[in-house]
Amino acid sequence: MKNLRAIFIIIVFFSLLTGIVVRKTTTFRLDERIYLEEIAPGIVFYEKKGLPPHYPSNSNIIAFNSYDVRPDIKGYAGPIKVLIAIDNTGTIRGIKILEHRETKNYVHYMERPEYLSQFIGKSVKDPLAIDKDIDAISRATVSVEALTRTVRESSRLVAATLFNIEVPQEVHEKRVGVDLFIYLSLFLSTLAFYLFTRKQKRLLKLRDVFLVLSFLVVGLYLSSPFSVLHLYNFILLRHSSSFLFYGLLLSLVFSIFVAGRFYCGWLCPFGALVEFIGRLPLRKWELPEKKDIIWRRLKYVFFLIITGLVLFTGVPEFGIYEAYVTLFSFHGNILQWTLVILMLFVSLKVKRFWCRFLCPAGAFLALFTPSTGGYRSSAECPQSNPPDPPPSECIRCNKCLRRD
Amino acid sequence: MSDLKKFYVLIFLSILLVIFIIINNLLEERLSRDLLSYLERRYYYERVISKKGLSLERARYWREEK
Repeated sequence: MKNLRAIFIIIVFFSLLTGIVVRKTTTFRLDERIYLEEIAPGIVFYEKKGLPPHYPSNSNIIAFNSYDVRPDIKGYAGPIKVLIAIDNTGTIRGIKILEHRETKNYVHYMERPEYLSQFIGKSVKDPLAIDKDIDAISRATVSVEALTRTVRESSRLVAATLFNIEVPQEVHEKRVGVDLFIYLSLFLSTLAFYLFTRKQKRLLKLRDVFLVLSFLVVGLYLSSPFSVLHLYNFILLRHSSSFLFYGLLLSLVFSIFVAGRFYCGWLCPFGALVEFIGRLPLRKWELPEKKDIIWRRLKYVFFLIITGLVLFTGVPEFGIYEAYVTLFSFHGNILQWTLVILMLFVSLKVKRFWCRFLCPAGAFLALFTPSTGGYRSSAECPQSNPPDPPPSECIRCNKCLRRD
Repeated sequence: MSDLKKFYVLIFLSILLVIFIIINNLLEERLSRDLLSYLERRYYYERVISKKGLSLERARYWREEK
């Protein structure tokens, strides 16, 4: 495991550095001008000029990139750059999202013209706010809020500066991290219960309650299972406006040092689902212990490959194959859904197949799991671990913890 | 078929699926977007700009100020 950890750190540094150098020399720059025709058909725009920077035209419409005006507004993983056309009465005439780094599984609907069309025809004096005159999108709340705020604040600033239109004062509501509070409450109570059951086996049956809660809260309600995308966005310095993003990441790092793969065994909603499926009374396939252990290395291979790929290219979306992202975002392509269905079905015959052989988040947690002994493994092991399993494979369910 | 053979089939299928998903991510995210935007520009050039006698390089994305 030490060697793997070293390889991981080398890959992170090497791919980051080479990626930065290569991207600096061969930068692919999106030319926003090609989209001017799309947001305002028939209008002839001239070169960008002025302050705030904008494209004047041969009519009463101007266009601008929101990032030139309000680069500070961020979504889940950085700013959302929007090309907006407004006329001299302050009415939005066209809009297109140019670039963003949100997880596409969650924001696919936000990018569609049907969704963006609700901004068109609205005035900068309108509320332009979620649940007032703009629809929310469940599972993409942070991204949609950031998009709406970007459009509202940049349009108002441009309209006020260039057209002298009186715009409403921005009221910055103090954001309460309700999602973070819910997550941290669950995390801390689960961790406390885990530590308690290390001494007191009697209540261990209640672990199922926490698994159900993790499925309902982390999976369905928050839609935020830990994904390696959190890690990549953090390494690539894609700052998030979501408190939950940082809460999830910090709690995970903390839990690794306190309890290894505790997250896998207690808080992962996909892990909970496949574990419950695996408990159905069907004969499980018998795998020789040696083969089992060898094939478990597969998850590290995939994790290291996507780490290199993502950090080199700077595009976290390249690495998305995580079944739980597809399942809990309710969105994916045919290949991603095939993988989800296969993983759910196969759990009937091989306990926690996904967690043992493929999960990149599990691989990351395993890499940094401290070597704490005391677990001997039993027939009840949800991971079908061998006796005296390596700490990196133990998900700390506490069923086989030696207390002597 | 023995359990081990079934397992090998399954793991092989899973590996294939994951590789296809990653390849699809690469194609969908960047390559297809570049290709599509090039085709859009080329189509617009052939349809509108070439008739005005402008070169592709000069007017690749852009309408000349009239």
